[in-house]
Amino acid sequence: MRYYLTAYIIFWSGLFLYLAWLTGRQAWLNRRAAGLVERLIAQGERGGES
Amino acid sequence: MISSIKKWWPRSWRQFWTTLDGRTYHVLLHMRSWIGWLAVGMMVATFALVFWWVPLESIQGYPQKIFYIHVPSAWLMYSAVGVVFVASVMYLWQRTQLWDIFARCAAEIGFLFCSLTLVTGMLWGSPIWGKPWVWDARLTSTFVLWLIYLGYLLFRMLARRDIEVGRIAAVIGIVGAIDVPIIHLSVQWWRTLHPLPVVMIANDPGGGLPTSMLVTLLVALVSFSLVFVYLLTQRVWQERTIENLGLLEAILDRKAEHAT
Repeated sequence: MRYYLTAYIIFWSGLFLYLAWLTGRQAWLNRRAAGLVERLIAQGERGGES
Repeated sequence: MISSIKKWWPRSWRQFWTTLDGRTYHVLLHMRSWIGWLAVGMMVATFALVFWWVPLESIQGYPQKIFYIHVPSAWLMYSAVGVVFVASVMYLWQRTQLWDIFARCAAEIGFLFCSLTLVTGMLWGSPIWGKPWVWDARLTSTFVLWLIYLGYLLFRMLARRDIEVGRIAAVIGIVGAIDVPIIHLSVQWWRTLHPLPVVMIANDPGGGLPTSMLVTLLVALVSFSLVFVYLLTQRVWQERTIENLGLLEAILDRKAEHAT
């Protein structure tokens, strides 16, 4: 029972750690995209002023 | 009719593969959230079957239930290595960035599931063999694959991203795939402690797994395959987005330089 439960816990930990890393990367990607959109808007505004 | 077929018919193998990989990728991309939820549902079903439905094996008892994560993890490892192999060959042939990204992302998933295969195998071996590790052919060849993939990922992480790196990585990916048939056939080629395949035994229709165990294993294989497709499409989408954002940022930087 000990080995069986340990194997399942390690399996789920591995899978969830990878999913957590994937989610963190997605959050970083969203922030980077949002920053880029802000830059584009700022550039558009500057272009509109000139 | 014929003229419309002629219009869409690919003029070369290169065009055929470009169309096929592009369309398959876009279909998978649009379906990925559905695939993700389906994978979650199937995983829940798999573990419900393992915990509450499938009977305890009479000789090994509880440790035998590790089988339902050990074998599908190995299956997923084989699938990932297969994707790395195909994507690496296609990258060397076509030099399309998408194939390189597919190979890189599949290698990551392959490494994760190779590690899980080894660890779950060690935890199964501990109570059954009396020790977690023996240097038999199946275990050693799987460990070699783990080392090759560790090298592959370290190389990709430490080297700069350019065409040369993609080419060398593709060669490592192809060499790594040679190990898969060795792993699979090692139990037949050499006398090993690792057992022979038990799912279906040739020339013995009554042999193999009991129906309940076979059904649980098949459900597990389907759910793990869905997990693989979801993880791969999600990772490929992320890598493509990173490249596109990088390109846009470079254009904006250039524009800002010209403006000042």
